[in-house]
Amino acid sequence: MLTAALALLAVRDETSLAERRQGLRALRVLAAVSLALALVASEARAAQVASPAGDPSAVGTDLVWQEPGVGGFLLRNGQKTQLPGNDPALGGARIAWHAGDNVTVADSATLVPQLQEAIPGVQKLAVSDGWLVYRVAVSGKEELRAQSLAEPFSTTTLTRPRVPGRLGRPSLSGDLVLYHLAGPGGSGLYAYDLSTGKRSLLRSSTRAQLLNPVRLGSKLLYVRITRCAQQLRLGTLDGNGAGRVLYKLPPLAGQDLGHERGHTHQGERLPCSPRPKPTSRMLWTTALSDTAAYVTVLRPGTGGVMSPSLLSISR
Amino acid sequence: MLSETVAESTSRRGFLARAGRLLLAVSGTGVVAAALRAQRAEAFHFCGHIYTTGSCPHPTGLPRIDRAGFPLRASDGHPVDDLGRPVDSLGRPVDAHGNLLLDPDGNPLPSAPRTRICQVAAREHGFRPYLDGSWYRCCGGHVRRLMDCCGYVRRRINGDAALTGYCYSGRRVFCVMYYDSKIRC
Repeated sequence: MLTAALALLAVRDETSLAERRQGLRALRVLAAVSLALALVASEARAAQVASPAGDPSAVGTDLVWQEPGVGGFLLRNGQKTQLPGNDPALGGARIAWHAGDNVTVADSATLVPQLQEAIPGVQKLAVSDGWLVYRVAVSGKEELRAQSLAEPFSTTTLTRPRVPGRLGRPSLSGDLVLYHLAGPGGSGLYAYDLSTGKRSLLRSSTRAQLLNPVRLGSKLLYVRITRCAQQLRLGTLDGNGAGRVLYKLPPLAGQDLGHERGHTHQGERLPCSPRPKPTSRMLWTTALSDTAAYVTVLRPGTGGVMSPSLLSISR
Repeated sequence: MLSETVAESTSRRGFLARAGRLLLAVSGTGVVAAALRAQRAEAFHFCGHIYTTGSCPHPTGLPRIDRAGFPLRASDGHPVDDLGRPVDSLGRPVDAHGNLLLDPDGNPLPSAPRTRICQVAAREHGFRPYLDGSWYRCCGGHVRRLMDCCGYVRRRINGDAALTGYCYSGRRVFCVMYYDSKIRC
């Protein structure tokens, strides 16, 4: 039936197929097969790097990530090495990690420490050749700070203190710090230029949740969660052009019938069409290299704590 | 007159007339009841709605709201955000058991906006929202308050002409929503 349907579609159009006996069924099967193939193709582009693992950072072919409760790992030339600390970050020719409040910045090739200092409450790190940026807990809130590696005793506060969960993990590309700010008022992707002290809003939305931006050259990778889909998007830093969806997941919530049982459809209004099958998996932190994009996928664990898996998606 | 009454009550014709009236009453009542039941069950897309105006945009479908107009999941009345996720009283996403969703570091996952659904309709369709009048019906054993989302609009969410409904001062109904009270009926 499918072969005949495909032949007919090749010669004529879908109307002629739908008008034939069992044609509509064949059309539906074709549509379902197409959707399944598209999904398989999307899944096939993504490969799991490690699990549980999250918060990736990448430079060239080097990749680091955090395994919850265990520590940071470095993947180099197919070799996986545990680092002597947590929440590792790569940038330029440097690598950083922290063990408790003690932060280490090292040469990424040799892992020989270049700077070690205590930063009380440090949580997340980003590093470049010239800067160390970190998220730090301050009196029950969180803020982002930066310090020049040339002048380690001079610290710049990049954001005002926010309640936990609002400020994302920072990323750093040269002098540019990127981070998200998300809350009940909406979400935005921000860039802070450490050389000029100028902050700019790259993207914002009150309808979609925009999270975890990273930059490579003129490209911006980030997560966009809407009512009907979750997307890992690659676009331009300046926002021109539509960008591309590198990976996607279904939405985080389902929908009802739009009408009560025993009542008519007339007047119903559904948020997503066709009806999506929701998932409890959520796209989270990102990293970008010349050849691949990386994204953490959070899965629900016990007591509401999400468990991370790290995926690699070829660009 | 009296003789005719007596004759009717005693004759075979009188008996047939009474039986006929009784049958008509029984069958007629059934027809009317069935018609009313059908109207209640099928005419409009949720209980208590009395016209064809469509639902206001809602993150999970049926336009159930709380007292302040924020979206609730129709199936269980749980508050949801604009992404359709169940949330706690502070708007933070929670799991199916009500546990706060935490990232692997133990921080709450970011909250999303939670917008009154009449405001969402107004924002998406470009008008200033008003909540004017309401009407009440008994639905599922509880009093349901049905509300029009009003505005100075000519067209309703269905795309055709908007009507006055329970809107005042020249405003018209754009879409409808409901609040389920705990008052039994």
